[in-house]
Amino acid sequence: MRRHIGFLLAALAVALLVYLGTAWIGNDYVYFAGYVVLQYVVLATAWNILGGYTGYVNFGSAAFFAVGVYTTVVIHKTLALPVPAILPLGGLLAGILGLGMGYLTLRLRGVFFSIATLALAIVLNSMIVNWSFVGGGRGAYVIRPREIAFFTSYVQYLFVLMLVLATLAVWIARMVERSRLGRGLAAIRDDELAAEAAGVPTLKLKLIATTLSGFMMGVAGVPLPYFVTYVEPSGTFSLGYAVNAMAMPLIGGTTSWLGPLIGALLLGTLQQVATVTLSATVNLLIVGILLVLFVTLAPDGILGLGRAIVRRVRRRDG
Amino acid sequence: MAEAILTATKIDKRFGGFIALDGVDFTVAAGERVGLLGPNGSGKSTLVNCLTGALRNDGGEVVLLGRRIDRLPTHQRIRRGIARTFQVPRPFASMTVRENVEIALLYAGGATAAGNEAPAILDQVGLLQKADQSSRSLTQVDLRKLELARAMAARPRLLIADEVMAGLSTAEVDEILALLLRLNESGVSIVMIEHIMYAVMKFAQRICVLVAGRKIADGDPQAVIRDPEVERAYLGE
Repeated sequence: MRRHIGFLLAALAVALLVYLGTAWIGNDYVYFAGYVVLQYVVLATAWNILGGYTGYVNFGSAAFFAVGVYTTVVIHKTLALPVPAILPLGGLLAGILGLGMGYLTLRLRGVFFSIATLALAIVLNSMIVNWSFVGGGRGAYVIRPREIAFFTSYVQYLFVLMLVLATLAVWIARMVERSRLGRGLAAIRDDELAAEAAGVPTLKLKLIATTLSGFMMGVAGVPLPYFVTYVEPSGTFSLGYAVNAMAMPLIGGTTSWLGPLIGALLLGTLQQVATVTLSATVNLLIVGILLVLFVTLAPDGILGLGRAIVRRVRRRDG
Repeated sequence: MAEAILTATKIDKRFGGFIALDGVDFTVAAGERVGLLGPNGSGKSTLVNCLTGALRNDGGEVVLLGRRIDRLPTHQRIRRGIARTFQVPRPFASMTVRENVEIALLYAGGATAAGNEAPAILDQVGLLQKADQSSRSLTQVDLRKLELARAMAARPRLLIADEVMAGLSTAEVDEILALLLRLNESGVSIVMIEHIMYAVMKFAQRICVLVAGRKIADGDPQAVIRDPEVERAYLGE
């Protein structure tokens, strides 16, 4: 546990440096762009726990993300709690959804499981469209406070919040990867039948993975209504979330916590740059092209590519 | 005869209209070496799958060490003492040889830190030198050894070796055979499913023969292979 705490402290130190760097720049756009990139760090890391570590490809990331988003909308309209208080609630509800989805679908494998997750997002989308309390199809406005203590703006506050969430998400993913649970998940990914025969309780571990992954995706969605101030189903359930959550780990590398982090930072930043220099609509095109390139040329992602280069250099030198 | 550690009674298994197992009784005594024979499609692997939990039997019951196990999932049966190897080796391809064994040690072998015991098991099967190699790089015979090492890591009372010698050279068959005999000497009962007759005859204290989902012979190896019904099943009328 001590080395996990050590990593967390190091990660928090890096987060602090990032914060100081953005504060030094002092431009609100950096917080806007940074928030989106960090949100994808959480989403990609969460997706990777089920998709990368366990090998179960989830197309329904937007559903879990939306649970977090609409939890905030409901709380905003009822109890008006501060965002940090909504985080565990949104996460919990998305985690329960993950557990339920896992229980119903984890007997399915491969593409059948993926289709079931896609269906879940569609079902949830329909429910939100028909739920007028949260705005239904027309959407809902969430007015954020003009000021917040200790921060220059509310967006800076949300940026810092997402920075902390991203740090915690990466820390949790690394801890899972190196734990007994992570080894069991890797065995499931490699060969589920052999994993059972080696004593791995596959169903239980897969349920833990869907729950944890869902929880983290839900948490990622909670601050969004205060960030965009207007949420509606077509934006919340947008293809962009599902595609990015999947493409970022695939491009970074799925077998390690570092892969989704690299993928999200790279793709997220690239998309933000493209938004201001080219057009907001080319984002998914960039992701699509990179995804096709990586899947065909470097299926183990940037990390796999790096490892292959290191191996080749070592072989040449040794 | 020593006390039975596994007793399977009247095991039925159907796939749609096809009867794969029809009231098969199968027992293994403590420390016993049993050969399970039968032509292709006779139900050997289906029986193994029903015993270890990869398939649910439609009828009958399986008792291991006095406890009924046929409604338990595979991983719980493994923890109760019944381990298996696969006919086609199924290594965890993203892991090293050592990590493959550590998974079974962690989840089935009751180890809290697998690192210390894996080398001893790998040494027993002759894979210690390759412990840090990727399991993807192993040869066919080494993959079979890895299957055995992983099964041994679960600390079984009964090991079912499903065609662990298929496709191996005579020298490699002898190597695996010696390994299984050493394992048996340490107290583990072994069921060997095999088509290589000289290996079965050298290894088994008792032979059980399945044909078309039914048990047609069970007893002393020499007597069983001379059984007219067994001869008919293998050689025809």
